[in-house]
Amino acid sequence: MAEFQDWRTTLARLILQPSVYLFVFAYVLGGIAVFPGGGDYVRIVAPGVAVMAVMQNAVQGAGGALLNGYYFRTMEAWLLAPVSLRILLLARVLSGTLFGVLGGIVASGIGMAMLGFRPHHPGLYLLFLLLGALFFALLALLAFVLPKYPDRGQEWLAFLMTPMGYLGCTFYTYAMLPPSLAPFALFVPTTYFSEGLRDAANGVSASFEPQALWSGLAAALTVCLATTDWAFRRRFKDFLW
Amino acid sequence: MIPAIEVCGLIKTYPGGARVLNGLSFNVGTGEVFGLVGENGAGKSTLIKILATLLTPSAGQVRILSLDTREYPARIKRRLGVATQDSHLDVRLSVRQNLRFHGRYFGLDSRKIDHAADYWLERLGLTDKAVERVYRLSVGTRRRLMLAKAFLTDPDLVILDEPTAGLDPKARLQVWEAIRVFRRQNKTILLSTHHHEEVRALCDRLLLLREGRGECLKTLQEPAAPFSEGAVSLS
Repeated sequence: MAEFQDWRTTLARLILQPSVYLFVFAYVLGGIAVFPGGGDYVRIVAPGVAVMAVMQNAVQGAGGALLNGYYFRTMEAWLLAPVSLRILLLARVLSGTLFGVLGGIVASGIGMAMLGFRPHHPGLYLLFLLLGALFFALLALLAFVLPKYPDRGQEWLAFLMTPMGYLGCTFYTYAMLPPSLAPFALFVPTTYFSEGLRDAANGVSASFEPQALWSGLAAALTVCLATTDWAFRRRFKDFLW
Repeated sequence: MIPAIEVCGLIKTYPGGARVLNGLSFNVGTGEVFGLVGENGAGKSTLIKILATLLTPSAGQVRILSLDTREYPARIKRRLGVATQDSHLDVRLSVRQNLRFHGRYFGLDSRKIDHAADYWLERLGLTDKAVERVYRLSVGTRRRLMLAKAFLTDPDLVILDEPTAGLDPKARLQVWEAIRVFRRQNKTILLSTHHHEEVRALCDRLLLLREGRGECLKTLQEPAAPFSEGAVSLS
């Protein structure tokens, strides 16, 4: 919770990034580009911007806190707390997930204010924000605890975040992809969160059958959860950092 | 005397093969102030991390307050206070906020935390620093705050790693007095130090650690085995 102490920086980060994305992708590009299939680009891009915000904030909330803990040695204070490693993992994941959801809500709110965007199924929309935040919080922790030292995690994340962010159907739909590229997008977990959020926002399943969408989500979350749990406990059972 | 710490045949080998502790055995009784001395690299910090359940032994058995460190790390940590050599304070928070967060980790309510914090801050001469952010504090003041954190939750065993390193004489005496006050409650203290006057002033017994092996001395009068150059002399 100490991360919330610097609330001005947190608030600026929450607002600035989605505002810039929405301005560029909805106002600038949305105004000048013609997209295959036509339609309202705002309804495509607004959920995508929310996914980007979820991703950035969940990674910052979970991974950033871990990295701070490493550099400032506060990690040792968590590890001396009288709780199991699974509880510690849960705390870090919840913190990242909370930041991620908050980022998604703020980004969606900005989308509503700037573009008049309204989610068709608000409850389902919120659920996808939550699942996305959970996934990216787990992924960030994994990136930091898997390498020998957590500073390598920044390199891993830099390598992962670009394809996760831009090849995961955030600023376009899966249906817009040419057939030769579409299979690759199926291996990017962001695709399922973007499409799910878009479906909840627009009230129609545009690209995937619901069963395929939920299967993709479940697979991504299960693999990420199991791997992070294993890596976290392995790393902190014998604390060598 | 019921042992607070039982170490039997402890071996610690780091990844890469470096064996830091090599079959170490010793006991610490409840209510003792037990000194841990040795040259740099003798394995003191490794031993402290194992006792604090931060590291897992490669072989041998370690029991803290009658609990095995491998099986019950969370239960041990609930009854343990640790002040490591490196500060693990949150520098963005104030002195009191650090203590509050620490107390919260242990499930204490705010009233109890504030009461204990006031007590230990006064004992350690930190009352006037309570609202200051940690990044503004000197190394010595941070070290005293680490001590306040270690004592805050009223643990049964406290592990202190060089608690007076870098302190001025007045602050050092305050720390010694805090250790004595804590000890009077029949609590156990493991004190790692390079200062032989500290061992004389505070410790009931001590362990001389050398190349991963230890030699337990019953009293300070007992002659220590010859120690290599630069080591603590107890004669």
